[in-house]
Amino acid sequence: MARDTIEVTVTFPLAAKPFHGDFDGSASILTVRNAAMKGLGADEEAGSVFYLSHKDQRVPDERLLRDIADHAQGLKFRLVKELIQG
Amino acid sequence: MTDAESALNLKSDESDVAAFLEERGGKLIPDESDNGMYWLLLRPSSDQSQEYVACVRWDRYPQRPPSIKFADAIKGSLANARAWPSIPGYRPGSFDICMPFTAEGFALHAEWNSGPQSWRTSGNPFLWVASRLQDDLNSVRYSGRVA
Repeated sequence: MARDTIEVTVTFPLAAKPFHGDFDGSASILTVRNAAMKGLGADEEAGSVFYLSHKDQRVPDERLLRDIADHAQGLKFRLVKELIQG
Repeated sequence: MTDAESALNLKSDESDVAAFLEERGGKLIPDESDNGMYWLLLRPSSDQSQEYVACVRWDRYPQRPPSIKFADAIKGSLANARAWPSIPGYRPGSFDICMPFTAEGFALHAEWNSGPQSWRTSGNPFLWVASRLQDDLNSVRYSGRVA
């Protein structure tokens, strides 16, 4: 059975360049987010929460990439850093 | 007014901010009299009929975070609590955002100047601020306009 490889681009305003990577459709959003955060130089830290946003909708970490892609071969996300203190 | 180098840096970054806002029904309007000041029209995704006007003023860009206040219109009053969205950390009573992406927040919390909350100058900090405002308006933490 053919693997469903999906080209992923993740942008983050505080990074100089977007993150690009190829992932199997069975990869979780958490897997993609972790790889993107590493590539974008973003670290988990107290007082903030990171998540991926697709079409301005927060995507839960547990979802699978293929469920978001809906047969598309490429996906674009934004890495969002939500500040939770105030 | 900001210095010439900051103005050049802002010019370089503002097109990405304008595109980001326009994709979401908003707009970026540079102030005519202050080259470090911008008016941002923002609409929450849950209610596009609501429009907020954020006044973002940069002192030195990208070295320092901006002052951010909400106005009741472009070039309008910055002292109208009804102009503010209701979001934790946004404080219409004191007309500030007490979070680590505003000058007001860093002035209140000196401890944010070091460690993970410190102001970052990499990438496009103006886009970071605009997306922070937009994402807060889009989040479940937003509960409408201040009554």
